Amino acid sequence: MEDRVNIKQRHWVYLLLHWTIVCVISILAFTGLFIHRPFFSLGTSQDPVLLMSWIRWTHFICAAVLIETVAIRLELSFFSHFDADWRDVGPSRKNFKALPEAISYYLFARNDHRYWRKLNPVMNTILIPIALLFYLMAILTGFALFQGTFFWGLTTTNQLFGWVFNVFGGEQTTRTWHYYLVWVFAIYVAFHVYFSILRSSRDRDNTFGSMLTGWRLVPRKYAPIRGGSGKKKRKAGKRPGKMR
Amino acid sequence: MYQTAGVSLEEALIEESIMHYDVSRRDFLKLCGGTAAMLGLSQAWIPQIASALEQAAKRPPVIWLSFQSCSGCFESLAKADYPDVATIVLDIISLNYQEVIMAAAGTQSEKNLDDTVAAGGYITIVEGAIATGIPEAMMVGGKTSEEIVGEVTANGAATIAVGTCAAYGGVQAMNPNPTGAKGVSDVISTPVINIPGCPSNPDTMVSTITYYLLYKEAPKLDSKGRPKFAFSQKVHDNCDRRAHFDSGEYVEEFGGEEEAKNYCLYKMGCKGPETHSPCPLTLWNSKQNWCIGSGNGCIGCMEPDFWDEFAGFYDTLPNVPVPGFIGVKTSTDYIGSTLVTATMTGIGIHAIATAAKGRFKENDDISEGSDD
Ligand code: SF4
Ligand code: SF4
Repeated sequence: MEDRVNIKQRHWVYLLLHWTIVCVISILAFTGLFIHRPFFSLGTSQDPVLLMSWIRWTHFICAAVLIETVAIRLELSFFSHFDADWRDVGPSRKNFKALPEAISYYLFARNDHRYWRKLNPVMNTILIPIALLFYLMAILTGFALFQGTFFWGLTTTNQLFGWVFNVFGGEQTTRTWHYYLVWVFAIYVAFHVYFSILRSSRDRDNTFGSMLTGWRLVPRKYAPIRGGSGKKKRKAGKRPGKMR
Repeated sequence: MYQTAGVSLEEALIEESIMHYDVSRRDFLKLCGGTAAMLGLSQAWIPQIASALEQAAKRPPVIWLSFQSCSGCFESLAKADYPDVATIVLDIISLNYQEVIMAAAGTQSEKNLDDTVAAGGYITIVEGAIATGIPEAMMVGGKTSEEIVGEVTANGAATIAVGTCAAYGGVQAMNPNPTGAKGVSDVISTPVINIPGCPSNPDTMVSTITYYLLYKEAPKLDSKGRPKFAFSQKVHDNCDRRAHFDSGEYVEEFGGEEEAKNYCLYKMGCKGPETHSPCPLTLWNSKQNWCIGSGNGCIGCMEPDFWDEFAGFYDTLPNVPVPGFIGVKTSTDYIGSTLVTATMTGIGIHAIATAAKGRFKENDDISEGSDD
């Protein structure tokens, strides 16, 4: 194995936010599936448990936590003093240029790939936009369907969110679209986890573990220059040929 | 003929109809009280409502146009088995043109219509959808429905579309909508009060007419043109089975033991959570019962596009069109689980191929360099 350095790649705040989102969306998916079709019951008619009420309450609480978490994550990626990473996360021209190459590697059309110290182009140009669209849809359709006083005193009246129903073609159809999100989430997780496993085992750089520890084992030549500012990374173009 | 000294002819007329149907003045005021409650007015308004109805003995002319419909909405209003406000209002208003019940026929009926239109100041009530795609599908007296509704509403004081057909097109507007059926508000530019429902609820119709007689203007309408006093709440908000919904107690199958316990019909496809209507409060058939009370879920008959948007009526989520297959519909669960299965299969195949290529092993295939 060639020379590696352990790099503190992910700030613990970002890890915390990531796993908060994972937990919260999982609960949202479970409670949402229950609201869609109640698949178990508790209590008896003599001694009823307000099951649906509690499940819906949980769904709304988690929705509020999700909105807060996503808002904090977006805010930090632009304004945080420890890692304002908006340049590295999300689609950029550089990422789009590299996308065909990355995809042809995954489709076995080529055998070599580049090392991406942070997110790779597939993640940045496809998965991250899908995630952002997911949040946007979940929040808008969710608010429109909620129709009551949400947390932070926000009352999601028809005047405020009725236009969402018009966009989707009616309240019932909006509910259908809101329900589709659970399938989008399932497919997203499948791809996301698979690609992380793939990369972790392929590049042997502890990508998977870094989501818990924050540390990634980066080949020394791809590590940022010690002491340099974040922007002064080594230029990839100066290193032609395969790494052996 | 019931008449007392000092009573005007108009008041005598309403008194007469009250007597005719054997309704005491006290009953009449009680019924006015029901209308007041529906309109969200306090009991202090009852005398005004009664007087508005009595004043209306000046008989505001009403033209009732029937187009693509089953006449169910008129039946709903005119059900004569019980002398209620609806019956009295029908006697109060001067129904100058109504194809189902008018005595006149042929040119005489056309003349009644033309005279009323020429005089102006009438209320137009439209029942049934307007055929715009195949105009010949709906013609009366050699004129298309679109022509008639345009001519008649232009000179009227107010236009009320009763029933989901007149309001939004109704069942004949179901995809692919061969006759191009449309609601009244889609074909005329003057304001329309929509009172949807299949059929529309007599209490809502009467309350709306009373409101108009009382205030001489249309009630406040929601974004779908419906009076807010009746349509601002959902069936689900006022349903008497709501406690079972909250407790997670559902009818699992028709004929099952849960059905006997009057549990919530959500799992049997009740669309009450998406339907704005006063049904749980007004009930049907002279306040005897209503859809959910009779054991069938709400099908959302007061919502636009319910015929497409809410079908299948017995699923929690309606079936949706399959992209790329015109006319084919399936459940959202089926689409979702198929996509997830396809994804997992794809990932499985990719993982096998990746392993076969040896890519899961120690890397030796990084090219060029880091580019992040
Ligand atoms: S029967 Fe329908 S409207 Fe009534 S509580 Fe159940 S879901 Fe809601
Ligand atoms: S309960 Fe639902 S289906 Fe029944 S009349 Fe009311 S809106 Fe229509």
